[in-house]
Amino acid sequence: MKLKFFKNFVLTTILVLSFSTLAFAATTGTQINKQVDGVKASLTFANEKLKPGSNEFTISLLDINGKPLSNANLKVTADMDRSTDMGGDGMEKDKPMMIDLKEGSKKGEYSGMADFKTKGKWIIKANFDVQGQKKTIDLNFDVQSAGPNFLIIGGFSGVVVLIIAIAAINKKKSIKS
Amino acid sequence: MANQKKPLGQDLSPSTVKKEKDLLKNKKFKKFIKSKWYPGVFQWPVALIFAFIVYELIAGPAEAHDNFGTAGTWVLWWPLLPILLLLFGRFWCIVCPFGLLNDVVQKFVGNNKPVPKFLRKYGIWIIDITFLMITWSDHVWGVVENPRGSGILLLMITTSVIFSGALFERRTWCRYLCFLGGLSGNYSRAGMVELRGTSDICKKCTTASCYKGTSEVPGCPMFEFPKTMDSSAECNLCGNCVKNCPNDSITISTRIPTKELWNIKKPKIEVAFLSIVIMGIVFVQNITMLKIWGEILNSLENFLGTTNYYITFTVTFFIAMLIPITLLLLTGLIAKKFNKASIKENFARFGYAVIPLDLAGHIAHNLFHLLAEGKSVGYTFMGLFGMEYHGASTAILSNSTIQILQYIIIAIGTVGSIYTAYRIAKSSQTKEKLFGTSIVYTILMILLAVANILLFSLPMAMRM
Repeated sequence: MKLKFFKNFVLTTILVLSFSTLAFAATTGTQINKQVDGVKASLTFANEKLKPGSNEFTISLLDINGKPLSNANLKVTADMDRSTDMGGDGMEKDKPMMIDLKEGSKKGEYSGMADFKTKGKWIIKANFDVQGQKKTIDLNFDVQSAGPNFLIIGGFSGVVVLIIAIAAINKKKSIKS
Repeated sequence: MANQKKPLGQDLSPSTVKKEKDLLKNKKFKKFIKSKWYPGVFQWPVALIFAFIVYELIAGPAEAHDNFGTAGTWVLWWPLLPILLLLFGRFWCIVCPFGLLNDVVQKFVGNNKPVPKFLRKYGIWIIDITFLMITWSDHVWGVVENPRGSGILLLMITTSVIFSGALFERRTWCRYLCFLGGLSGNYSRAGMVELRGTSDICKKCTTASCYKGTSEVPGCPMFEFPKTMDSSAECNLCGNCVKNCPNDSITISTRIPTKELWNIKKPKIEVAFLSIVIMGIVFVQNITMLKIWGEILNSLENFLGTTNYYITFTVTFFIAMLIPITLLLLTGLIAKKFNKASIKENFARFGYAVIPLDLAGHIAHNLFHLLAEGKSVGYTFMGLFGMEYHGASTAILSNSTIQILQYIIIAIGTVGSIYTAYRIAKSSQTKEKLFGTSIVYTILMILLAVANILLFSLPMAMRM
């Protein structure tokens, strides 16, 4: 009896711990880091998987000593990665999106909202000044297809089940009477 | 409720009074319509495809150009629908998975309550308003180009159908509430197939099995009585009356397109209203897909002093609906001088004459999606098996060829509308008054046709 309890306890603990790490992992955001000419750019999204639609991000620029860049005049654009584009369909391409930035909670950190219209490879381009020189860092990432909205599906299913249940009860009542 | 089949006396000779072109004279066809397999043999496969399409729309790729559900619904089915309605009347409505769902729900949990009076009285108005609201919401929230939006629309309709099937008798949804049913009814009036009772036989019938049903087969699901039916607007060719009639009175025959519209006995203002707003809807669909739509929107934003799309589009939508309605009212006012009928009477009567042009405009508009994006149906289907065709052309025909076809269709529709207006005028007026009335409505049809042709001559954006 004790052995069985012990086995169950160990098994449950393993399962809980492994799933809890998964749960924690799922809440981790996406971070992309890149270093160009001694400047380190970090782009962080709140979600681990990026989906089409509005996605909030923060971007920070640090110098070689890890200190925030001052007077960097940071400007950020978002665009789809065209490097693998064959360009043969003759369709007019959208212009890169200019993103408005707000100062973040820490010094040298900025936040913004990017609207990814479709899945695929995207680039956020950070343009900034370092000692009067213009620099650009491209931060690449994937936007994945959005999954189903289970809340909506569940809502509709609930209403349908309710309608059918009420109708069935009413029918039964009317047959009895 | 169910009646037993009671054949009329043998003195009746149906063959002498039945129509020459009756398709039911073909024994194999008649046997098929009367068999237990009809219409299920069409309904169940379509229901399976529909279920998969809904699944794709709500759980498949979130981008329209990758989604088989979007391609299947808006590039294949929606463009084919008006063509099907022209060729086979409301046959689609018996194949429609929503109708089947209504029947299944009704069979198991249906309470079979009678249709409320307000629905019977205002059903078409509800359909008119729903149709306008769905078109408006499509543009504002992007239902067509967003698979999830399309999926939600289908789920909303599914829920409403289940509610209607669980509560009301027969196909209350299809007859009084389905927005597509209103459109289908209008187009079917101009369609090439009609089901009718043979009056000489029906007038001696006392069983009315076609309406009431028998122990084996239910009565007309669309609340129609073939004995008095003079329109194909509400007949979905389910075949129940053919199966139930003990006197072999029912005929299914082909007819000249638009023929039913030539002699409308009791024109209804709500039907005329739907036919003229469909013209407005075709205008809106075309205008918002034109590449100059962005410029029009900018001008409107400057004029209204707001960039809010809800406001700018609602104004555009309102104007687009108002133009054809005002034109029809004005034409009625001018025609009043010739035919002495009231504006309301003219609006109701001659609104039916717009139906052929509506149908042509609808087919022509969607022909672009069918022929310029048609291959996307195949590509997205192959995409289900992991084969991707990004960047490949989706066109079946070149844009210039499609444009020529669109002009031809509009020309045919215009001729249909002009001739229908002439026949409507002829059916109710003397020869002297006929000329003036016909000319006035001919000018209206030409104006509407020119507006259509102008819109089709401009480059259009794709759905996928």
